[in-house]
Amino acid sequence: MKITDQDIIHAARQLRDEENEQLHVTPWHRHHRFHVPSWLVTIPAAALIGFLLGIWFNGKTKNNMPLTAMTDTVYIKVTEPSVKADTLTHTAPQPVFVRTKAPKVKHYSPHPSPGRSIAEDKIRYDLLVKN
Amino acid sequence: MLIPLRLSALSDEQLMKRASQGNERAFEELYNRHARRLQGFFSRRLGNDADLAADFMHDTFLRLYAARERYQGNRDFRAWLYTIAYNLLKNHFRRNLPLPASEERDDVIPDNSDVEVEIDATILHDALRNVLKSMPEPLSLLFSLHYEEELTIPQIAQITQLPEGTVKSRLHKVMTTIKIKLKQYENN
Repeated sequence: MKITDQDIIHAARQLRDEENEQLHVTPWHRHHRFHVPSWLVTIPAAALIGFLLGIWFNGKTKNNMPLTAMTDTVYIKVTEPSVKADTLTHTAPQPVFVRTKAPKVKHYSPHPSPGRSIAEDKIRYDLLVKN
Repeated sequence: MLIPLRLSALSDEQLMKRASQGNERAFEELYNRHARRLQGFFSRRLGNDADLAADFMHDTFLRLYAARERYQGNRDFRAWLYTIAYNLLKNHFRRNLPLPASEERDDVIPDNSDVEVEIDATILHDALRNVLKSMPEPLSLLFSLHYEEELTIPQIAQITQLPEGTVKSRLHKVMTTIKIKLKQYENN
C-alpha cells in the first residue's frame, strides 16, 4: 500500500488517541487546592480526640471515687450541743415514775431466755411512762 | 446544574476571560478540556514517562493559573497553553539533552517531496511509532504540534517564535524525513 501524507497523519492521530486514552489525569482540584501534609492533620486530630476522651473518662471515674480521692482534705464541722447553765438547774418535769423510783437492778435469769434480748430492741424502756 | 452546562458551551477564550476575573470553575473547565491531551503531548515528548508527563502538565496549568489575571481577551488560548508547554520542554531538553539547534538540522533534512513509500497498512502504526521516536526532538516536536495537537501554522509560529514560512517549510521537511525513515519498513 502506497503511504500518503494523509495516511501518516491519520495513523499519528490514532496513535495519539490510543495513548491519551490510557493516561491517568488527576482532577484539577487535587492539584490546585492547598495540599496539607497528612501528619499535620493526624497529630492535632489525635491530640484533640485524646483530650476529649480524657475528659469523658475522667468524668466517668470521678463519680465512683471516694470523697478523699477527689479532695485533698476533708473538713467536717461537728456542732456539739451547747449545754447551758440554766438547763442544769431547771430540769424539765419528769414523770413521777422516773423521779421517785430508783432504777431497778437488772436481774438476770440463770437460765437464758428463749426470746430476744431487750438490748436488741433499742428502746429506752427506762423512759417509759407508766399511766 | 445550569452553571456547568453554560461553561461547557463557552469557547476556551471566553472561559479564560472568566478565569482571569476570578471564576474558578471556568478554569477547571479549561483544565478538563485540555489536561489529557496536554499530558499525552508531554508523554510522547518525554519518552512515555507518565509521571514526568503528569508533572509537566501540572506545571503548565499552574503557570497558566498564576498568569490568568494577565490574560488578554484577544489572545489565542491554545497557542498560549502550548507556548508554556513548549518553553517547559525546551528548558528540560536544554538541561538534560543538549541537542543541536533546529536550524543546524535543516542541512540534514532532504528537500525531496516525491518520496514514495509502500508499507503494509497493518504495520504502519508500529513503524510510525518507531520512526517518531527515532526522530530528532526539534522535528518530532514540530510534527507533534501540527499533526497530533492540531495546532495551526500561525499558532506554531507564535509558540516557537519562528516565521510562518519557516514553520511551513520545516513541516514539509519533517514529513519527507518520516517517509524516508518509513522506507526501511517497506519489505518487512
